Amino acid sequence: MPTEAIAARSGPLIDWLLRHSRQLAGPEQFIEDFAVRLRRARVPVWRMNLHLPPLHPLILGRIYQWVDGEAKPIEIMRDRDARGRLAYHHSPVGIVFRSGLSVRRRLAGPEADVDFPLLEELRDRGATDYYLLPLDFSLSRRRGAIGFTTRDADGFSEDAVAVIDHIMPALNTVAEVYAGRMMLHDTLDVYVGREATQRILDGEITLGTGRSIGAAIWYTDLRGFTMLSETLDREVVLGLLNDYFGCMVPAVQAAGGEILKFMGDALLAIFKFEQRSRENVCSAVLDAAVGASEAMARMNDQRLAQSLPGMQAGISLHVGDVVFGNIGAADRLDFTVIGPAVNLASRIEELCRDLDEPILVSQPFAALAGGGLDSIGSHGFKGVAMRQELFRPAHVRPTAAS
Amino acid sequence: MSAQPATAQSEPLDVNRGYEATHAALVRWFIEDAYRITSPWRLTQEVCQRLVAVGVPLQQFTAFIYMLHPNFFGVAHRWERATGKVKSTMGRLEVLASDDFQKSPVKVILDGAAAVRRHLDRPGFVPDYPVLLGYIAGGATDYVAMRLEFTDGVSHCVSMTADRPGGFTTPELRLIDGLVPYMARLTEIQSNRYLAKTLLDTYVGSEAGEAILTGNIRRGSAETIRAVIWMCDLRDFTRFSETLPRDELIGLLNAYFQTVGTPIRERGGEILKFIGDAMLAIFRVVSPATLADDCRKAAEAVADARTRLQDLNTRREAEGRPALRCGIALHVGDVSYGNIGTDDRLDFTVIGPAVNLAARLTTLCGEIGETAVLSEAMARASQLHVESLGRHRLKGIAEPQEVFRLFGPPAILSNGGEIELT
Repeated sequence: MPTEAIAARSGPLIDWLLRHSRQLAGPEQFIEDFAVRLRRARVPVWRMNLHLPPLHPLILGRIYQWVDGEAKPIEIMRDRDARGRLAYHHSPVGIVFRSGLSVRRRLAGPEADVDFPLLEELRDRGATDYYLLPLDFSLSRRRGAIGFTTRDADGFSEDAVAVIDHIMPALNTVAEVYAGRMMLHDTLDVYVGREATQRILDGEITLGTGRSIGAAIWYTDLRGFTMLSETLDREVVLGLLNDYFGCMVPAVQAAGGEILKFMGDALLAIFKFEQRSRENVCSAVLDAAVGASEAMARMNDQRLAQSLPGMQAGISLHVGDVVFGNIGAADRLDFTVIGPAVNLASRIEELCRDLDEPILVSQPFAALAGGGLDSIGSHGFKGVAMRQELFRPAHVRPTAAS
Repeated sequence: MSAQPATAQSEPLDVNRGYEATHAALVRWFIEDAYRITSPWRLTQEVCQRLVAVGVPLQQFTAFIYMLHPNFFGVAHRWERATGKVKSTMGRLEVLASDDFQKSPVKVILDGAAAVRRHLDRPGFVPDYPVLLGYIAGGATDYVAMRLEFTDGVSHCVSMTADRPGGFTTPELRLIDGLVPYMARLTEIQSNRYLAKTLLDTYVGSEAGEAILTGNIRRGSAETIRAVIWMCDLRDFTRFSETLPRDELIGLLNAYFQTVGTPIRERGGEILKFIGDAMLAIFRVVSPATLADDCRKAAEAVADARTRLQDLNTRREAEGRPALRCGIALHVGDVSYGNIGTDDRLDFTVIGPAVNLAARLTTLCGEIGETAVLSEAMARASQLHVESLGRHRLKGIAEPQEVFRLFGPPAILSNGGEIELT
């Protein structure tokens, strides 16, 4: 049990952490307000880091950092790449994550123990004491952490440490709310798409809700994928899909597209006409398609050098009004687009193989995209009444490996 | 807090005799123990038990929590002292419009009021909410509803009744008012997790939610499983979407998916994907011993879907709407099940040659005018009564494939039958 004095200093903090939900809207604002209150309770923090564990394929850590005198708290991402991993591995946070125990280091005076690069950096900036504690959650085995640093000449007093220890359970619940909300956003972004996630979380979640939007449509698939997956090993097929999506997805995203769906080897994306003019969107989308096609050609050169099978993709581009919303069966839904324009895009894409073209563009798209497109005449499509004039980019390198 | 006299510790806590000590003890319980409780109904139960133990004359207590769900607007966890149990009820979206809800104190709280209190046993009290009549008939003397506030700004609600003459005392209400925010925090944590699972189940697939939330989120993390693959599409969809108005088209598609999706889900199948007018689903084959049964489940779902589609068409024709015709392909084989896509935009689905074959068979269905076809592997594994439709060349597949139709009326299908392979 804490002493009366510790309890008296901790009480208002615990009360704020647990009772004043409306003042705790998000981690950035929280960490700043929390610092003010800690100092009021005579815990002399100079810098605080709140580490929350994301559930994301690329992001290893999200850190909310507050430093006294700096403008606003910031959010720092640690990627899952080698650098991100190293940053975690060789740091006090790595120890806390692995062991679940706290780390306390004096950075000045006779008891100084500066055994990590981060601590050296903090010491050089005038820090005297560092205290990092694990955040263990009730509904997730992923661990978070919160770090307190002071520049006070004597470091954290034993009472200040006791106050921090005493408020940890309350702090834990706030952190878990944030971690849970972050996990919700991250996983939905990854599996459903960013725009769809936002609209779902804003309440568009019942069957049949949807609205009509004008957009450019991008439809792509791999030529001969059925044959390839019949004849190649599973690992080779997965590698091929990853290489191919690795050419397409970044191109779509860089041009402001929303990837709606993967269907085996096919991909459907839209580019909304909202802030930008239709002409600007279409010309950017055309550039992105040409870029993706060139990326495929380069990828094929690399694959050939490694004796891997080459791959050819077809991309169709079209514009039209589509319904963007919930489709499906009551509680198993898809947030996607439907409409004649989507069907036509997929029909045009099928023609890429027959005409041996990497990119085909509909007449309405071509009219908006501007120059650099050659007509290849009119074509009829199953289920579509009118014949459609199609275009190809004037200059595009074939995707096939030479 | 620490300096509690020894006498007070040996005596049971009573909120009306020692408010401070009671409050402190319950706060300590919330901070140190309650966060381990992982379900909202259990939390409701434990909170109520503790309130009763310190002398609160709690008769019933209900936590109303809004949720984001395609079919439900919220859930009510209702504890009653008489049984000591909690009953959880999901509120369907329709309830929102009902009088029961619209004329309830809960609605008033959800709309932003801080609290509603009614002294039910005061002489001359006139119930101004219909729900209070029931409470009065049940012997309640006092009714209180208050906000359960989340950090995201949304207010949920708790309501409770007392059954002691005169109702709740001031220390009792002060205690409850002080503890509800702690309850709100834990409830928000539980709600976030539930919401994540619900939305992933809804948009990614019913088994995907849990798998993703337990950390199976990296590209390439896929397992090979054996499954019956169901792929179906809707004939003439391109023509429909050219000619029908937007809302009509969405209604048509949703009615169709509902009709073919329900038989699958009722038999344990999982819908993985909607692709325009097509739908991909699997029935997992648990072990070689269950293979024939798992295949038969899928075949029964086909029969059921046909019946339902006929019913739907009867209704549609009566309304002057075009009939819907579908093509269903069933195949059984090994598929890779897991994360496919790029690093930061993934899909939790199946891929593999078996899926491609099923897709080609769906196309074949339309070409040869069948509602449903089975691959040879499926026909053999299901041990059902089937009829050969001959060998067919399929795009991208080297060997011509023999395909089969289910033979006989649906009633025969469920009885197994003999292997009839040529």
